[in-house]
Amino acid sequence: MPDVQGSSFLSTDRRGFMKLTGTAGLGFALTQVGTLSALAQSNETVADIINIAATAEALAVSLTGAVIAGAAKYDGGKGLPASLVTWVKGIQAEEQAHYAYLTSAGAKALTLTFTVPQNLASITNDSKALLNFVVAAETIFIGAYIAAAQEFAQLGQPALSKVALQVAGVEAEHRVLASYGLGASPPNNIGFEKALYANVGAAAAAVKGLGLLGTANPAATLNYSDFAGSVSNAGVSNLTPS
Amino acid sequence: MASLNLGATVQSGLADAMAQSEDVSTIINIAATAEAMAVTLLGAAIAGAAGYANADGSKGLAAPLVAILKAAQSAEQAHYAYLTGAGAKPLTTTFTIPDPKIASDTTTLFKTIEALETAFISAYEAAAMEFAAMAKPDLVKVALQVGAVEAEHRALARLALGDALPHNLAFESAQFATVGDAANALKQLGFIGGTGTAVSYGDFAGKVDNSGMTELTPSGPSASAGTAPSSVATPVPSPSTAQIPSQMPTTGGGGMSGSGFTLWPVVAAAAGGLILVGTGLRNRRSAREQ
Repeated sequence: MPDVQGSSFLSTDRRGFMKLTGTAGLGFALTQVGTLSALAQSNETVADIINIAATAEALAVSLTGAVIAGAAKYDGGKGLPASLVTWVKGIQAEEQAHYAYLTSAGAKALTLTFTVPQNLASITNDSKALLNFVVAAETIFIGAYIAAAQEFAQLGQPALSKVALQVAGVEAEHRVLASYGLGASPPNNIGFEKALYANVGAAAAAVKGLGLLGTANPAATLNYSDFAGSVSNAGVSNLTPS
Repeated sequence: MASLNLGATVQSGLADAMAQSEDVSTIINIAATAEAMAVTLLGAAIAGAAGYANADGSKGLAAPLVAILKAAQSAEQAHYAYLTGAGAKPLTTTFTIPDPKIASDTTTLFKTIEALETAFISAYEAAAMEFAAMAKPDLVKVALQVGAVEAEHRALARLALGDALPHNLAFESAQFATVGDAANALKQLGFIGGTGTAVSYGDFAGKVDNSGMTELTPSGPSASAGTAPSSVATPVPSPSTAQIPSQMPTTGGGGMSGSGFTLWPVVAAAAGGLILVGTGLRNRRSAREQ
């Protein structure tokens, strides 16, 4: 396996970005591919949709948790600014609230182990790369919930269409704040959110295509369980959809 | 397959939807009214930017704030154009400013924007649910595409107010059961048919600046629970090719306890010259600290 001493996040602590060694990670990762592909080909049910959504939310909780845990190591040791760490903690709390809502409704995440592929390794130690990633990832998530809302309508679930907007709005807030953090002017640079996908499975496939749901030789591997217990809800309200 | 415990949510939602008497025309007419109001109020703020009183006694909205307001106005105008292009007719295009400080005080302005955007988000949530109950997924899609943009505006308003956690909600608030409820709220607040200074959409619509804006019409595939996946996969921008952000002006001061609010210090990277810029959106001490 490649030497990982250069990683800013190699740690004996379970938290933070960890490098998964050995072949177990690769084998595990590949088993998820078939599941998502099958979903993407089939008619999606409400269960399918919320299972995928829960997976994405667990991914977000894990990634933000790793960022928080490794905040001091960003940008050559300068560390993430305290204000940005506060923002990331807020994001994590909100994604966890989404996950909790979905799973309380019966959703089961397709996986709770996630990977950071080598070509995204810079998100573990470079603040600009991280913020760019947040903008891109939230755009995917917004697209997923836009698709979900339409599918819920077709499935005769209008209340769930409303919840989809209650979540998508929050993901959009994350997007615009990351855009602001990058110095974009204006950060609120779109008239309509992008509707990228014809179904939620396509959004999942996009996430999979980025290598976040299992990949060979990842730069880091994250277990949701390592981060879920450390979520801070400080300053966050509306933790359930009203 | 384990049963889904969505019963209470679904039943409640269906009951609400079935109780609706709003049709598509009613919904989009009200939405167009709200969008016209937003274009108008934002236009008035932009036009009077130099005269705003800041919390620290200085005058004038900071340039980054004006850029955000202009972009918000562009988005609202795009929403209005889409809705009227679909046949919507606003109930009115003349609005009233219930509190003169909205047009003169920075803190009041952004608190008002936060409150109005919260109402707009709620309106589009109601619309999404009503459109879904009508089995109109294409309209649900647009409601999401607009409602989420309004959420961006809400967060930025809170950022402008100096809130340490601009994105303070896990789920957007849902204040209204119908879009009509949102219209009534705007009336009760004095923005429609009130006694304050009257402002007209026509005075501002022709001055909207779309600089830096994209997605000015709702695009993208319509979703279907029965379709094969789109081949579209959004690429994550490579960090090595990430756009270098334009440097935003600092407005003086630094730190939350000092004389100004700076989001975070300017960090100059090494040879690449990348600059992660933090800038005070407000010139002085956060109004929250008052």
